[in-house]
Amino acid sequence: MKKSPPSFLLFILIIIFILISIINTSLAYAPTPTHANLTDLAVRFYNQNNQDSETKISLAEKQWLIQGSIEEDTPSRCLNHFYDPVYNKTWSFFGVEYLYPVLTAKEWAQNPFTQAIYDPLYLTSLGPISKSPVFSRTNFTWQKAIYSYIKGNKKDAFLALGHVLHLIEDMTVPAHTREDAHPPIIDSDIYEEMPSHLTFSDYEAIFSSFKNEKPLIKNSLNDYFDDTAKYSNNYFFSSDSIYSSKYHLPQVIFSDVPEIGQDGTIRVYLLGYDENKNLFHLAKKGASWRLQSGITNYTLNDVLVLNDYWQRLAKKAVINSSGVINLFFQEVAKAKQDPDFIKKNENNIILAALGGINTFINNVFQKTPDYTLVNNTETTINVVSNNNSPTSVNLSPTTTVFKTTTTLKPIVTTLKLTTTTLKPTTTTTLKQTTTTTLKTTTTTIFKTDFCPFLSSQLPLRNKVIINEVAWMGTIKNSDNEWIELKNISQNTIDLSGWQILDKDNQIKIVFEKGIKLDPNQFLLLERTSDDSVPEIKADLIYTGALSNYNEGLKLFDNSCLLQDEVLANPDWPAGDNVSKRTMERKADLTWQTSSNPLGTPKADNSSGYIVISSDSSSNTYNPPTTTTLNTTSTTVPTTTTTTTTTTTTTTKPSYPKVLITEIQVSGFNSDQTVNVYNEFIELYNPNDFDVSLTNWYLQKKTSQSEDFSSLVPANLLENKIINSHGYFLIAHASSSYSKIADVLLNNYTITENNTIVLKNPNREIVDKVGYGEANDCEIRHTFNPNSGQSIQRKYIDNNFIDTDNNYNDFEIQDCPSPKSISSTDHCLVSETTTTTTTTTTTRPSLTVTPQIPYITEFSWHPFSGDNSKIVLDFRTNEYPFIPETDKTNNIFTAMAFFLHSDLDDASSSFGIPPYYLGSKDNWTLDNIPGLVMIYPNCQGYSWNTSALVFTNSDFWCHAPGGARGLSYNWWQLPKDNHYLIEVTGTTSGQNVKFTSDQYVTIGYYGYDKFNTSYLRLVAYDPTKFYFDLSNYYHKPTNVNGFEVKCGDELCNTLIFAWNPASDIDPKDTLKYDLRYVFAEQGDDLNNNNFTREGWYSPYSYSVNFSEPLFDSTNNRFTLQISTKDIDYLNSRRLPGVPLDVFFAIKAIDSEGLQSEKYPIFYLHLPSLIPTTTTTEPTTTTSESTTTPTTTN
Amino acid sequence: MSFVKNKKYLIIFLVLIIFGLIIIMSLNYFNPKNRLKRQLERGQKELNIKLKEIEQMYQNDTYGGQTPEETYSLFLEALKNNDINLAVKYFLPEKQEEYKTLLTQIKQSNQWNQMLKDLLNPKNSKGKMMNGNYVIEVIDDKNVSVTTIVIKKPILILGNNKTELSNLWKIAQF
Repeated sequence: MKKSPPSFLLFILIIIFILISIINTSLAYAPTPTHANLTDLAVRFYNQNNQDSETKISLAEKQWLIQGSIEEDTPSRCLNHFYDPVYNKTWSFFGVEYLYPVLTAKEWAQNPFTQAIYDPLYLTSLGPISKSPVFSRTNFTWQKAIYSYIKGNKKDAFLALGHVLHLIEDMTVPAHTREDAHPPIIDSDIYEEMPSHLTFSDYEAIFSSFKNEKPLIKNSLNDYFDDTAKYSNNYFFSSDSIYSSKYHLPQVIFSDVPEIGQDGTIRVYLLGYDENKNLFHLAKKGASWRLQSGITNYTLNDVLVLNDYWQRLAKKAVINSSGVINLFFQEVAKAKQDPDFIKKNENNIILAALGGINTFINNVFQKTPDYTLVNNTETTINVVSNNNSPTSVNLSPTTTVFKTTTTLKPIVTTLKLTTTTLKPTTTTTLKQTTTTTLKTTTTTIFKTDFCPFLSSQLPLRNKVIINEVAWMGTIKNSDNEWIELKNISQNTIDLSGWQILDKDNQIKIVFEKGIKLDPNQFLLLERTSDDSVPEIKADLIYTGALSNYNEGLKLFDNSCLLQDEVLANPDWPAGDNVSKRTMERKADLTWQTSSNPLGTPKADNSSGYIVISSDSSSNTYNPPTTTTLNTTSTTVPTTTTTTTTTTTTTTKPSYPKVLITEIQVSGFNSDQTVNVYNEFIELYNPNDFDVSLTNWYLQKKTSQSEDFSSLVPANLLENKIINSHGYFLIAHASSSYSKIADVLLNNYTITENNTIVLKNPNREIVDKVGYGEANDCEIRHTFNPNSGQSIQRKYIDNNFIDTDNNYNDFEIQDCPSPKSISSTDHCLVSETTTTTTTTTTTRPSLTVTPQIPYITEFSWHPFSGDNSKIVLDFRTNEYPFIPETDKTNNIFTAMAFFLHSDLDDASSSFGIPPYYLGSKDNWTLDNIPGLVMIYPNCQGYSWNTSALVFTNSDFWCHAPGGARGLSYNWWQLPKDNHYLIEVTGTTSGQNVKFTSDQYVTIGYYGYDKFNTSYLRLVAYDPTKFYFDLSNYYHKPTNVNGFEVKCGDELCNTLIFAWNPASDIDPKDTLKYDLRYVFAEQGDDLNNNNFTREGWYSPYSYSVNFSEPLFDSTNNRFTLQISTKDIDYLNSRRLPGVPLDVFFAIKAIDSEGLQSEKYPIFYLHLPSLIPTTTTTEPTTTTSESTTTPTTTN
Repeated sequence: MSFVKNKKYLIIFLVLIIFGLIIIMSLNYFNPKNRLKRQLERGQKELNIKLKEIEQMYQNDTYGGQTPEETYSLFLEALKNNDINLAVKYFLPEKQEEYKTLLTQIKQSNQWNQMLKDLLNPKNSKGKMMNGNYVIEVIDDKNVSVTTIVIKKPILILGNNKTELSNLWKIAQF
């Protein structure tokens, strides 16, 4: 017998539906690109892995899924999109959680009743009915999806399933699963923001990265929620839960890992393992003065971090969502097997409706609130080993215990499946996540492995260092190698877990627990046995040999942070294999050869190996006398004799470090003209001994060259000695530095963008400096010195720093200081000189022209409806428009407007502008009659000033304060070079009531090259610019005849046409502004009658175009543009998603005034992939003109 | 008489009907589902009050620039003047206490001058737009990234509904 609802119920239902259709709430919002794209990928991934044609998702079905996934994000529903799998909690916001029946996303997806009460039209008397998945306008649960599909209503089914997919996708956002203190309100999570800025091609790229994998198979929807939420919770941070005490995970594997980016910048990261034990960037960490504790010290706002997150979490979202689609069809198949499935559900309606008072009574005495009932099962989450303490949470899958309630019949038969929840979890997950997409940026390290020797880290050298190395063994036995460590910090260092590794993988020392090193204490490690240093007991015996060439030793702490290193590249930096002198650290942590043939194990290092030179009274380091393999020629033809070594050997000698410390490319003559010969190279000997430069030489390379060429040949340095801690200057014979130079050259030049290298007799590069655009340097080149400047190695704590990074090590010196740290002796351009020069100048050389050389179309006139606002109105052809001169540059330029009056003898007598604009720190006209203006400046304040100041780049608009801060804000400069500067008065206090007999002349100023901080007169335009009483504040007329149509079937091009507007201001030229918005609910598509007012700007999107075509025969503009060139519109054109768009147009005149009204044109854009039902390529409606309520 | 009797029954019937309706309405009122519905309405009202308070707080906030560059300039100016109280006003209101503590700690740890030196270094003068935020990565003279400053427009986000709370740009991260 067919059962049907009683007539009164039907009547009520009809009334409700009528009400629903009448009351159209505005809860439908624009689609979210992220969910739309992820759902699209999930469907494609599902179809790709599904061979059953009956359960493949069609284009229309995909469109419904996407629509559902978008519509889940309404303001009320979105509060239920959080699920913390550790504590089984949702979120809180100022305590509102306790008043608001928000559920976890997992519960929300399966609770029809709670979804029903979010319906504004929910009626009390129909409450029980809405418990059924059949009836509720806001029920988009998992049950509703299955029920609708069984009933044959596929659209409702896939809409509801789309809502569920949205929730699964949200579970891959850590902020949604870590109970972030700040849900996406105001300070939204950076990771959640990021995907919305991706393009469709970015999604395609992520899709192609795992398209060969399979959807994740789980047995229940709860399993999918748990798996997805635990993944984002356990492996990732959210912005405000980094190192949160609430969560034990993710585990930070390495906490201070510096990485050198492609831009040369060193960034410090926290690294963690993903599910495949691949390291990835968990967060970026602050450094230097940034305090090393507190949540604020970390950020996810970093390209590497966000990319690592996105690669993993987006993949998880797609794979799991496609698994949910698969589960949906399985559930549908099972429901179809149950002949009573529909009857049971529909019985619920009738029984509930007829239950009347009984139902109410039952509900009154019902102890458990309905909203905790999920799928007719009560779900409790028992976190394994949790014990209410987050510290005990582990990575094991949580156990989900399902208890069947006896009060209600199951709506969907998922109960049987829950018994096998846990079985497939681990294996399936691992199978699905074996792809590592970012191997280029991360290195796979297992926790039990040794630290990576080939690391780009810079050694910290602030705790324990490698202090001495006997890489050569001892005289007794070359195998008697030993290594000495020293604690140079002020604290006892626990060496547990520290590692010493060598390049050849022969030495792998891991310190056991309990080994500690007190301040200044040594630790001796001897090879193979305690006999390497017979007199001293070893602290640790190790195995493995050190090579004499191409070798290296690195010391890592227990976090694999590089504490110290020493590399033989190819030779060790010190030590002597012939005399078996060890390699030891000096006080400045550079290396030297020990003066003691046995080294200084567990004792302070020696003062260094001293060689007595026979031709010098000073102590000079020279390599031991050596011969090459053929023994026919001596490689170091010095007459040096050593006191200790005469043994013939096949090894190459080692040479000490000498630094290039300063380079000048060119300087100035006394008349301030550039002198290219005022160039020099300064070397410095940082050692405690003198160094002979015999057979040393310098080479250079230009930025265009691949090879080095000779710069200072070896013969010029022969027998030259550079004293300990002394300088050595190489200069041109015509240089002003020739008197203090140690070597003079006549035929060499160094220029900008060069690389300079210093090589020792072994042809090894001892030091290298690249500057400007040099193509070769130590890590990163430093700046080009300008004429008169030099680049100098930084001098800190009585040492020249040498980090082997030119950018770090060098800085620009305005006052070059050859053979000294700093000096003004050789600063040829001094302020004193310039001041003297300028004070003797009576009149500047002016470029006077009535044609206004730098600006065009100058006028000053009223510009407002009531003439109360006065503007300076001028245009330029370029920016910066005040040129440089031989005395000024345009780092800062300025204009001053001198005010005169034909009727005022006093002011009209003024004709000579001031040579300098105000003082050094105050670029104003002071008491000179002139105009006072206001404009946006670098300080961000609105400030009245008598000079219009500009900078030549954004670089100079950074440091507000003083006169510079009054420069025109770089980012607000008019793009069309049309300036409208408001005049607010005069320097004499006059208000803006000007008369036609008043005029201005203009002075142009530039930044003085020599008298720093002064603005110097560049040019003066004596043209009398009289005040123009005309008010040009006239808007252009409205645009008429506006039409938009598709250029082809799929609307890949758009054709716009309109009649030109006009403007009564004769000097005005008009341009057109095309904008668009997407249609929303409530918009009348047929009559173009907008319910949204004032949408034109800024809530609409601009169509960028260059020049429209003008057809003089019909007096119309036409413009054809590809939809792909309309960026945002194109990003919204997803496959299977048609768009309804409103276009509008306005005319804009030269002053930026817009036509008052704008015509609107509605256009329907078909989806990118046409469906079979898509026959009409375009739909156009009549045009209407709407007047916005907002005034322009 | 029968009329009176019938009238009496009618009255009794009406009283019973009214009594029944009162019972139904009472039961309905105390229905847990309706209690939940009322709870939802109260919660929504409470949430709206909180959000209004936040909106009002932002509307009353006059500290910040019309552009991110302006906000950054104002912030730097305050730091240059050693005015921590003013500097933190350029942060999002809910983060001001947090960053006041941080800046105070930097000051107390004698790192202030180094911080100013890095912040005022010309190479750190300009940020870039990243995901709708203005991001300045502060790099020291050793080319080490010290911190990342994020300046954003405060936007209230509830699902797809976004409301701009202020036209001033505020510092969200330092």
